[in-house]
Amino acid sequence: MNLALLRLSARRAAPTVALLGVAAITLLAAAGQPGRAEIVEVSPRFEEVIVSAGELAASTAWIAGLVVASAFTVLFAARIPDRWFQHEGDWLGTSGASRSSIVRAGLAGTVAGAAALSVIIGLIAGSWGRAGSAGPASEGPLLELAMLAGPSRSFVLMPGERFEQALPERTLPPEARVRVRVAPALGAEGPTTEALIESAGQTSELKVARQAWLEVQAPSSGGLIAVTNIGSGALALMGPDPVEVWRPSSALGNGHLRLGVQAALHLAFLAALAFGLGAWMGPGIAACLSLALWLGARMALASTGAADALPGGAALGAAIDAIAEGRSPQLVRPALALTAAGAVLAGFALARTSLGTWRRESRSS
Amino acid sequence: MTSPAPPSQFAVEARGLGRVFRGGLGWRRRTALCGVDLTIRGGETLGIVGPNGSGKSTLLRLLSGVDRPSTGWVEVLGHPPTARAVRRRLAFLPDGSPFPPELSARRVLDLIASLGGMARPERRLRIGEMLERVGLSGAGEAPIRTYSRGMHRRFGLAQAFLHDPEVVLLDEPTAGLDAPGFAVLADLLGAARGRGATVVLASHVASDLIEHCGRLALLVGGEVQRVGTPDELLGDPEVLQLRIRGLSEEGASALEQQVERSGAELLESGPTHRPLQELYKTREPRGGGSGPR
Repeated sequence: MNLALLRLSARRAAPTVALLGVAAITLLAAAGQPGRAEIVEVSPRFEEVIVSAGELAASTAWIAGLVVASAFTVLFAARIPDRWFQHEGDWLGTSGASRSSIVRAGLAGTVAGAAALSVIIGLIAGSWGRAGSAGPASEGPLLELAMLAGPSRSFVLMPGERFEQALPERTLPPEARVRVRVAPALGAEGPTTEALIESAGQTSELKVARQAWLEVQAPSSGGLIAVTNIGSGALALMGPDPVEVWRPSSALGNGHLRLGVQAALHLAFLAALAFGLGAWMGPGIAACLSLALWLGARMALASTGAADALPGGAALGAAIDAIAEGRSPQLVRPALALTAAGAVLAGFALARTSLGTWRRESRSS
Repeated sequence: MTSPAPPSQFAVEARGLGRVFRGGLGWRRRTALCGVDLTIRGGETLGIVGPNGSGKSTLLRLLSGVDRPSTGWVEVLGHPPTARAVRRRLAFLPDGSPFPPELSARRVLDLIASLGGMARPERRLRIGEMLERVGLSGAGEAPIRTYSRGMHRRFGLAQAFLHDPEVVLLDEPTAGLDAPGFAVLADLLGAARGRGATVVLASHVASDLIEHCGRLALLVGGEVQRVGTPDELLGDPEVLQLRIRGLSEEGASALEQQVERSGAELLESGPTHRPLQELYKTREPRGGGSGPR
């Protein structure tokens, strides 16, 4: 692979304006959030609601940075093959390199440039992460999701009702936590309620006035998790899989590295698509079409089991949510990496097949 | 390629070459080239002259393999120009400046040479030499976008001649060149001829090509109208040009009278103009002529 052409393409996929733009927006999004944790007394009846401001800033920075980076990525990636057809084919086409090797180097550089944008976001958002916050999740060890359990739908516990979920036999460290996603529901006396969670002799109560998590120390090796509605209102357990088990994580950079890999795969996916389409149509149309295809795929897959396999899909959302809670996202799943690799192959095939000639048919001089 | 070509004895051979461009939706068609037959022997220098829009650039793109003909076929060194073996032995100077404007001349030359498979130590050596040769050694690290038009052309020449190609296709090589630039072009073409390279030059200014070309092809409206030596194509048998050095005023007067006595008409008489290059040699330029803008 020609490294000089790879470098040139990387530079064009992530030009200075894109690097500065992504850095500025990420920085503004992070700095726009409260700088330190705030403890707010909501009501004497309510427990203290602790806002983990540091993580919120970090996740907001990731979202804002990724939105801008996605737009820059498709725009600049689509322009690279367009330049070849505009005039650069005059010297690329007469060089001794094969067309396949030119496309390979160009695409590799484009993907590398796009991935560099995620590094910028990660460096900025990471500095607003766990270390700078004081939320409850920040006080213990860094946690990552170990397993999901529970029914595949939401359901309601009326006052006095109890829900039990058996966890599979698996040895968990003492710092592991189990939590259940709950929310108040209509159908009983009050608009709010109180819930009790029990696990291996550990209990915890929570006043449920909005969507929240019931959390308790996890059993050391399997066992039963029980949730009881001890208030006067109805309690909804938010499915699917409302029970989550979290284990200590040794993720680097408090999980920002894992999120960075997810973001890089998302941008690489978009860059490869825009590059391939840019070889067949104008850069503006190719950029818009790339975003539209990704968005369409995301919407189409949203309710299917394949939603996690789309770069920039449900897995990325879950990873950003995890960062927002001061926890670590999970490792990138192989299916996600395979989809991104598939997009890169598709981009290569699209660009290579368009290179029957180095001049677009409608262009002449 | 529309039909298989027989083995060629020419360095460049084109038969029935045509190129039709389609408009936006493919409805409007414009014929840029029509049935061009062209043969160039190894070591020959051919000039293609014609007005703007006559198809010179399109013809060179087809010969270089950058574009594909709508009809007919091309062979360079006995193979289609798109063959990898040919591309390593062929050089093309396109019209304008299509090179990455954000990179320095040295970087672009390195990129092009590496794409051609030139080893790194050789690249380093040759790039320095070539920049020196085209007068850009002082501006080799400046981004190409800062170059003047003449510097762009010098750079184009540098990339074309960097790997000692066997077939050189130059589109408007003199556009924007100053007098020293013409000397650079002459030097490069002389060296190429010296090693037996085949050269094709295209320009709308015939006088720029005459001194370099053994033959000229006149291209008008996408068709080759005439091919011949510069004298055959541009010479006027009715008019004789004499250039005399060291003739006194009296001698000139006697010569004029002699012409009139013979019944011929004297069209023009007077001192010829010295080339600008000579003036440059006698007076140092005040600005750094070859520096970036």
